[in-house]
Amino acid sequence: MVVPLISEDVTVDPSAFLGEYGGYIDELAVVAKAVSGETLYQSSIAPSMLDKENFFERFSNIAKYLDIRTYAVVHAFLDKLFHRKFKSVSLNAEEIPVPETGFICPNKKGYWKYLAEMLVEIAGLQISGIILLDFRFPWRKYCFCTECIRDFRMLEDLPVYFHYELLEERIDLYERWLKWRSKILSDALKYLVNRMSCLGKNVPVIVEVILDPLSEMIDGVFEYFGQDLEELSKLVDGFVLNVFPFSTFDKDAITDDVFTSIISLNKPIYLLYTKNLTKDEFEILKEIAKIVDAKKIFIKFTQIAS
Amino acid sequence: MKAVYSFGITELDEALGGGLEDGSVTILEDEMGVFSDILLSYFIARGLKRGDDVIVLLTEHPIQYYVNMINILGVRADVAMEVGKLVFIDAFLSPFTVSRSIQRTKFAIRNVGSLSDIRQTLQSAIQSLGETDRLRIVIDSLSQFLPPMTQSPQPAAIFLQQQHVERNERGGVLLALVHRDGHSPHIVRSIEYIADIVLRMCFSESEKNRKDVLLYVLKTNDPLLFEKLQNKVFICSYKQNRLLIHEKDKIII
Repeated sequence: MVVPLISEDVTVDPSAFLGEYGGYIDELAVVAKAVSGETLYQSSIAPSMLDKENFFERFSNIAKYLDIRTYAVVHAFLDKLFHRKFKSVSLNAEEIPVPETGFICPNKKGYWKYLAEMLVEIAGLQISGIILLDFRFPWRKYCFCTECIRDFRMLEDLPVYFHYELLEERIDLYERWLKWRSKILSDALKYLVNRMSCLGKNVPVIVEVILDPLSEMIDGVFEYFGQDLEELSKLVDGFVLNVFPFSTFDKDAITDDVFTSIISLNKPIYLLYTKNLTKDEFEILKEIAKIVDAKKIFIKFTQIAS
Repeated sequence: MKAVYSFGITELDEALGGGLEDGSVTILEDEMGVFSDILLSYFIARGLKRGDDVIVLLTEHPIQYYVNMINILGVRADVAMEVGKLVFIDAFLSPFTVSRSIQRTKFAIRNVGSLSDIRQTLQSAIQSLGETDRLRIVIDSLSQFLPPMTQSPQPAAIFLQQQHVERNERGGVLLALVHRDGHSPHIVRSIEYIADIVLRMCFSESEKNRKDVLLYVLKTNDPLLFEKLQNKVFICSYKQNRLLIHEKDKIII
């Protein structure tokens, strides 16, 4: 099933949209927190986007009335508002496929609380689940901000001049660094889920996983993005595979083997496609959906409309 | 065109051309009993709602007092403090609360008579924000820096002058409260000269409307705006946790 994703740049009136398409859809995903750090709902924590202060609520309330399930999409560690304050730092920045402008270091505990309180607000709206996008480190070799250097240095009793080259020289240390880094993400997710559980309402959480040859498909997410899928699967209700966000579609790169590790986790898998979509690409998406038994494909509304 | 910092009160913001202009120093004069701290709370809450960084220097209230008022206005002050968007500087001169308040803020001024202490603490607070695009500094109140609380008005005047230069160079705005009825007129006048914008909240002097709280714009740094505002009077009322400000004799629906 194709589920329209309404992003922050869409200038559509919720009632007009649902009036026109409501009869054809059962589910809907709407951005609740944008990359800019602004919210599309009335928040007491984050600034609301100008002219879209009630955008999300209007969608979710009308959708509820029409028996359409709404998913709230939240850009977790991509936040331009807090980027300067909590930015993710690479000491040895290699070229990354997309500019990482706006990534927050996932090790910032103050930001966890901020995000958790925001998720509590969102969970209180008429939603059927939360999709956490950008719940990851931006790329390999991140993060080397002051806190990350200090924390890992103290954990491993490393010299003050600890830097990435030292990790490259010692493979055992590099592996421990990767593990430490992935634990930060797992701990952050645990914190968020625990905070939401205080509401006494079960809100399913789905985490984005990047599927792209540039980051070595699913096997690369641990090294590139710090995501330990096995650990995360204990806390989430599903994964959404963001298909080829950096590269152009390559049918040959998609084989059954690619998905073995994620399928073995026995969690629902969904697909997300955020780029311009051609008919051929849609066919490939359907093939992937078959392999991973994905029941939903989230596609930007603008793509569906075009 | 310079950025502006709004209060979130439509009629006041419109009158001020959108709000306080970036780089400006504003004095809000009040008198006993008018709800000037609520106007300051609006300014703080509006800043947090727009994603601005806010520093609040308190000399007359505990931090919790403002935290409660900001919460009432629909902004979670505790979360804003946690992520460093809202920073309090405690200069509330009680030996009992100073030690307690330090648990809530890293920044405390123990001697409000010391200009260097105030300046250094404010600088540290600004540095703690990291790189910032938009900064609001709110002081409640500057009266503690002025006679009869201190020996001379000079430190307060120098502080405002320094802020005038700093805000002009680095951006951001400063809004400071002064209790007009707590000082001799020439002292208030001396700091009015330094400020870019002067607002005054006071009770009506007419026998008929003695309970009305009025707001005047006594000075702005924009001559055209000042020409428009110099004879205008705004009426302020506070009902059901909402501060309403409208032009006198203008009917609001």
